[in-house]
Amino acid sequence: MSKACISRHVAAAPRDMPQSATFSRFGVLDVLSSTTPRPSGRKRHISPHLAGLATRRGEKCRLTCRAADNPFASHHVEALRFRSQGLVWRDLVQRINDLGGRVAIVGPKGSGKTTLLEELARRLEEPVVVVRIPGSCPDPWPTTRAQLPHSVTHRHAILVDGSEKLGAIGRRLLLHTTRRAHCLILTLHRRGPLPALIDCSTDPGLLRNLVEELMPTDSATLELGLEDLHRRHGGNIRLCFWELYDVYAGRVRIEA
Amino acid sequence: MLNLSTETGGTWFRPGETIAGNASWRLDEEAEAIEVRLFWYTTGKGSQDVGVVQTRQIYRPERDGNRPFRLAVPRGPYSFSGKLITLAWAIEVVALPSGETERLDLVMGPTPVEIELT
Repeated sequence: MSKACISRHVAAAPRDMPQSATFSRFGVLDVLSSTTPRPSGRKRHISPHLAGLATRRGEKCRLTCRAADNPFASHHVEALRFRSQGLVWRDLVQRINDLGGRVAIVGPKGSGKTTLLEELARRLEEPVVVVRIPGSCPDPWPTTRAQLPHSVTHRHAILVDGSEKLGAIGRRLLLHTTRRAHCLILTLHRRGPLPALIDCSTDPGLLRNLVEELMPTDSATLELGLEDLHRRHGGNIRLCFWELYDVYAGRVRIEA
Repeated sequence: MLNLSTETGGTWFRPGETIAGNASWRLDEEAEAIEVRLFWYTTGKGSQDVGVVQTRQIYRPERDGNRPFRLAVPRGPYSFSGKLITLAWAIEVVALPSGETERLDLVMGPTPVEIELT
């Protein structure tokens, strides 16, 4: 089993070389398999600590946890793979073709759009270029353009994460620049300029499933609170993980 | 199968030192390249930052092979850890394009243990 590669986001493959390895999320979990193995590099965590953490209101929480050992730390969360939930990958790829190769993955924040995009990057056969739109930049188009090949051809599959940050003009420039690409897949919060490939959403069962993978020995302790957690965060799995991070780190108490 | 080791077997390095080691591999399929990367990364609450400081590339490697490498450790940042964030150093060997990876965690700083934030 391969370890999750942490250095993937910044290591640049040569231009026009198949780039899937540069950003790929490491064959840790095969979404088509019936089992959910853990990344080999992940340490198990100490269940007595969490049992002590699940205190009633007013009780002291004694847990201290190094950030890297928190099961909800970013490097564990980012190693999670997309859960297919009945989705047949072959059908999904066929749907991309049926829709003309230019599609959007639509869904609110924390619904798994990026995770699905990265799963598709692993599964598409064409040379894949994944473009990440910076969130903090007032004009993200130059940074976006710099991530695209000099000359986009029909050989390329362009996958763009966070394209809503581009704004209307930036998106138009993106659509024009990539017009010759074999395939263009955007993530968007709302339906927009391209037909929707899929609408991403989450449910408490998915959250439970992911928590079980992150902390298989301790997840039962949290189970009762997960539905409420999912509801409070409006289905945003990322925010749920952040709260669970704080719970595990002893910064927030579970109110039983 | 990928493997990484340092010449001394140690994983603590001071700023400015050189890491001498060996990367070896036995691949199931042809690789376009093998990359050895020295990098730091943060983990904890929120998003992850990664800084690759050096890479060594072996293009068109044989299916079964090994190469020594030498990587210079920069002046910082030191390894540290607290409740909210850990900054850790590591070397990864990655087979491209499959993405198969092996990692060796390191401590970088003036002392053999990471700085603890309290």
